[in-house]
Amino acid sequence: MGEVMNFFVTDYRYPHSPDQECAVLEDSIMQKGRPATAGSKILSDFISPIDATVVKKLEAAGVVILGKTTMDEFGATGLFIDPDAKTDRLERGIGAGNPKNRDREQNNGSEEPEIGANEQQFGTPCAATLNGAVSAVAEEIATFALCNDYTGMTAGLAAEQGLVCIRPTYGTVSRFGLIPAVPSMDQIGVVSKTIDAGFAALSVIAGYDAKDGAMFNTPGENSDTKIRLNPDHTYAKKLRIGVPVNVTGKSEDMAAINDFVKDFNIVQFELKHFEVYAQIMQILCCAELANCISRYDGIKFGYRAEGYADLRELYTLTRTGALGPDVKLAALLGAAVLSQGNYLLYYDKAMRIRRLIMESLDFSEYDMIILPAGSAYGTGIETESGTGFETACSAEKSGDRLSKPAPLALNALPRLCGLPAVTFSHNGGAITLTANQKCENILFTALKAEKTL
Amino acid sequence: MQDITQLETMAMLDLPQNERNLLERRINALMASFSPLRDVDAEGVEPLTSALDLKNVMREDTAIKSISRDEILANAPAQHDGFFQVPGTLG
Repeated sequence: MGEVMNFFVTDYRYPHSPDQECAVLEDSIMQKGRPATAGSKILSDFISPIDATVVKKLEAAGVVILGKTTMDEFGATGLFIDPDAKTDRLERGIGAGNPKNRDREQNNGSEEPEIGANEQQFGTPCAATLNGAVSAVAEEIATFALCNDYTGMTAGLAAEQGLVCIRPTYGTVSRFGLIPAVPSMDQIGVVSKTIDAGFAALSVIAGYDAKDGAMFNTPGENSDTKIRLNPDHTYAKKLRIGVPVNVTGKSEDMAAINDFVKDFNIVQFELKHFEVYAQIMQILCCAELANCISRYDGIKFGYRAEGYADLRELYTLTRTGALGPDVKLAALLGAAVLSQGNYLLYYDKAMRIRRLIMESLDFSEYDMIILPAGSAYGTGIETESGTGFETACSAEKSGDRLSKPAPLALNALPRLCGLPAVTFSHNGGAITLTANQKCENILFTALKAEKTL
Repeated sequence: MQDITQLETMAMLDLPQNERNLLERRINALMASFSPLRDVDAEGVEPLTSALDLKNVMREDTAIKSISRDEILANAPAQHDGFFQVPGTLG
């Protein structure tokens, strides 16, 4: 039970019967009457007044929602992970090795839930990998977990644990009731033990919802955001898999790719602008996140600092005291790239390159694209040399880029282009398979066929 | 070099000096790492704001049930007579 409680932000409900399907929700997804903190102290007192659309869909399908699982604050840590950080898996805190987890075990039974990374000091391991969604599925507490993985960190962690992480086409799953972080990339996905369980869960939560203004189709015009799955094994053999020649990942991941693609028709191509993927992600995500978290000011909901003299001080004391280091960095970087003088150079340019990236894809040449999964190499730990948050894609390290790209770069493509993607482990490595928008069935077919070919 | 105090003002933060120094270093390193963007020719390319071709979604102009005032105020750090309570904003 102590282990189980580590994954949960708050109360934990047992299923009524062992036959019931159980799910957990990342703590950015609202369930009426339960806390929704997005891993942040600034939402520590927030009780959700609504059910997210995905919650309603799960409940209608008879799925028991066990509880809300821990996450890194607003999912922002993945923006600043440094692949060169010299930390091992235990230090990074996967599973029981996490110092935060140990603290939780010691404090187990205390009334105050531990929330977010906010109380962390700079220079200590982030709670980045304290990912309750992945842990709860890995420990078979839940059949699946729902999460908004806009950096791809959850997907990488899931694959490391032998799990499957499915990210649907942008606009397939309603985000009503999801605490927004990066609206142009926010999309609720599924972590599960198997391909079948993941896609089954996705089928339950997908579908048009008028409450989300960015759904794939508006009503009336091919209004079908449902996932249709019909694996055709004869078709699978004809599938063409695009292998980017200019992308390299960890050696075990590349070996896994080489093994996986041998059953498919291989099409080699160059992933244009891959060298700036991580920077584009950091600019766009920080700009959007900075805007989204501007609503946390201590007035309408969440934490409010004490000891303020006026309204301005209420805002600054509240935000300074309650936002964690990664989110502060994102807020400042977002302000920087959006500010007058920088806007055209960075934010506008990043949006233009985003279009170039999207238009450079040619799904008439290949049906899928395979990439090494961007698993978490490090935690963004501050080191004496100051490499912590400065990412492997910094200009100074450009010579090393091809050999060790930032996880953020490897995870960027489906997020920038709104593509469906499945991240999974294969032969000791971790792979992401992505396809054109609304082509979840191709991914499902390929993955099912791969097991049987 | 970015003026960290100006960014703090925009982000409504007032960092302690040790955090300020650290974050200033990181911001500047990150901004420096963005320089390869300049090498990408994106002249005349329309900025892409969303991966979807979004259109305004209108609904009928009819009243719908929403969250009640009490439910909204229940999450407020301070409230008074059915309103959010804030410090005085006029001199």
